[in-house]
Amino acid sequence: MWRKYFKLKLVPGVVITQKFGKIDFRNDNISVDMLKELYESDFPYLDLTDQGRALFYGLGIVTPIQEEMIAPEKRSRTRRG
Amino acid sequence: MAIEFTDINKNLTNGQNMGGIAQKVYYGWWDDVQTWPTKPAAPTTVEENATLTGDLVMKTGKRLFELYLTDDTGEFEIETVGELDGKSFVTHLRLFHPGLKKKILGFMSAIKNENLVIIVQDNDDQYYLMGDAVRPAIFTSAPDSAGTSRETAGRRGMSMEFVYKTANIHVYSGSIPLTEAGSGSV
Repeated sequence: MWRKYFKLKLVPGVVITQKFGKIDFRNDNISVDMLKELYESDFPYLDLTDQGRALFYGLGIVTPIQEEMIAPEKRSRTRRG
Repeated sequence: MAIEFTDINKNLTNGQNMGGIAQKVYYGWWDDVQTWPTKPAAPTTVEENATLTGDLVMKTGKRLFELYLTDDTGEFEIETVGELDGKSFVTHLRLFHPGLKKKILGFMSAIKNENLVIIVQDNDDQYYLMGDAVRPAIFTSAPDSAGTSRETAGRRGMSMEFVYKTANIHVYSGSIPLTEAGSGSV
């Protein structure tokens, strides 16, 4: 569940935090609110997924426009003379 | 120095003030640390002056480990050293690990001349980091014997002492990674 909203920058395992004690990131049922609090306190091993950003901060999922998706303007290449 | 003084009262949270340290300390190789918590640069209060900011982050694939100690054998001591106008601190961690298994013997052989980082938790849930970007924690001696002991009722195992020299004393409030850091962990 929490993995939908957070990316872990560790091999899943145990981290001791001073506020929440021992957290085992192999566990699927970790409180999302707790992880959000950790993330906001600059815990270095968590990042948000796009879904996490959308859920917590209302930031939409923005897909960058790729260059090849924009049709290039056609230039006339007529040769005169 | 622009530190604001304040009244320093008894200030024991819930009356708690138990001595000693927890039954585990956390250790790793000093070289395996990627980033260190920051020491106070321009503290304005005495509490800020004792606070490290941020986390100890290990290099990719590296982590900290637990070391068990017998209860009531662990001690974190803060010794003041130096001459007038040259005062600083040496922190000492002393502990006893029971038994003489290969793990602890191999550990002692491996660390005896090497640089370490150690995190100590006291019995008031306060943590101390031994080691910084410049200076490591090092093993110095076995202050309370190491070996089989003489009598059958004696204590078989290894006592150890580690020291870390520091200009100021700080409390660590970051995390303790007991699993390997993944790539891009900083």
